[in-house]
Amino acid sequence: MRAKLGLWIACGLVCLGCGKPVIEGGRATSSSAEPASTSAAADGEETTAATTSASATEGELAIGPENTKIGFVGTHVGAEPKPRTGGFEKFSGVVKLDADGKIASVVVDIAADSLWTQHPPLTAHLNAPDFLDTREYPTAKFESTKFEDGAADGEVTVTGDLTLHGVTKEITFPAKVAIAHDKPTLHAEFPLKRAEFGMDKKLDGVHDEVAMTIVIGEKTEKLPETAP
Amino acid sequence: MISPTEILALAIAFALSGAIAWAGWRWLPECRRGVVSLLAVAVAYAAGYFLLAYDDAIPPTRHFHWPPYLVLGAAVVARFAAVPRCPTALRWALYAAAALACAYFLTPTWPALWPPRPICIALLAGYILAVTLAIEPLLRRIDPKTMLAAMIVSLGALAMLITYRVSLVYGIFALLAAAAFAGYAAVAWRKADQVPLAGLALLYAVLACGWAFIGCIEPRPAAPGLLIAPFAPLAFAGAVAGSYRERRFALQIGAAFAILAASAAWVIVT
Repeated sequence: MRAKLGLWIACGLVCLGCGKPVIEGGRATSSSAEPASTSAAADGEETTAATTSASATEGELAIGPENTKIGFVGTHVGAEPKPRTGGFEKFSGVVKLDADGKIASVVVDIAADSLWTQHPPLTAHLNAPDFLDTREYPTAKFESTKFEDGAADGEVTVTGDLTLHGVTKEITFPAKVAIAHDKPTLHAEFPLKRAEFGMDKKLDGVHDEVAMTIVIGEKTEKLPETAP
Repeated sequence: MISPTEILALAIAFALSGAIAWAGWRWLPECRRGVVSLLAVAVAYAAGYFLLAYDDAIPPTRHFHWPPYLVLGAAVVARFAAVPRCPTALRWALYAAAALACAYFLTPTWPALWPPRPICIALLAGYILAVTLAIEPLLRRIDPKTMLAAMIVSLGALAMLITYRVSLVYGIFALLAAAAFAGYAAVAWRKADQVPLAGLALLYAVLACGWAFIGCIEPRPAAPGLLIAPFAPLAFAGAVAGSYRERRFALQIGAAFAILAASAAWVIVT
């Protein structure tokens, strides 16, 4: 009798894990801050429509994976850094343009749980409380507060509030901006200290600084999976 | 990949469990020694956990902060439920209440949790209760050393699978359970068959099923293969029918490892 009871409960628990994928729902996909690209990314036709609407109209540019990429590279501590490349698949935002068609402000909502890497177990670890803890903090957000001209032509310094892992901090990073095919582009590479956002686990094994890359004007492309 | 602090926490869990076992054996009267295993495992696990997560888990704010509190509570329940004179109905009721309480605290409040939280609580409570009720009679009937070894190996394997598939942090928390059991076993090994160990079934179920569940629901997609690992000691269940004495030790160990291998295969493939 006990054995049968245990067997039925075990079956129920196994069904719990392999039934409906748990990726659905979540704050990222149920709140008003849901990235607009979520449904578009899942549907080819909608993606095309989104790409069309990504052109600069009426002083605004809609951004998403179809015309923007947000990537990162983390490295290990020690003699072999073994860099790990990744990015986010689902995000949406708006770039506001000034009268000259240059970028004046950026707001982007990121589905943190849409992060990808080339190694599925690493993706799981980054989603876990070891790092981004995306079950608890499924969304991230960047909202610029200031775009200042940089030292050289086409260079700007971007200041804004980044909310990541439930922590909001002001960050500043340099970027290069340009106009290509009547559309503004932005390219930024800068280090982000994960511990400043509460991601302070495994600092002895994985560097605090993560190299971020943000490109407006290039579509998101996942790199193929490889062996760790 | 394991930090010095984590190694220290594992060492403390192992050493403290052994120290409590040694002290209990030395100074407690024979009739009171049934509590030693419960005290050793629960206190050692909690000490190791709090060393790693004292700033997060005191007070607990997340579902995975609860295992040290729950294992201490389970030790109290097991102290009363596992004594031979406790009526079976009362024992089952105490175990069921403990399992339900554990499930309530170990199930997260994520809006995206599927199945919905009440169903998860019911399933997890049933899971913990089933493993407890299945293992407890084995601890009464089967060689305690063999069962201790099976539980340690199962917890260790579960920890490795969680580390591989889900999280280094969770993996270490699960490995602390193996260290706490191993510390007790290391000291009490020679006398293990002289003391009732039945109460350890609830502690094993709370820790093994608890971490298997926490590890299962965290990743996307979920990792249901982890849920199999806590059943590994049940490979001895066939022996309960009465043929245990005739069975070969290697065969039983092989069966336990087969369950762990199935769990590992499922976790790695998915």
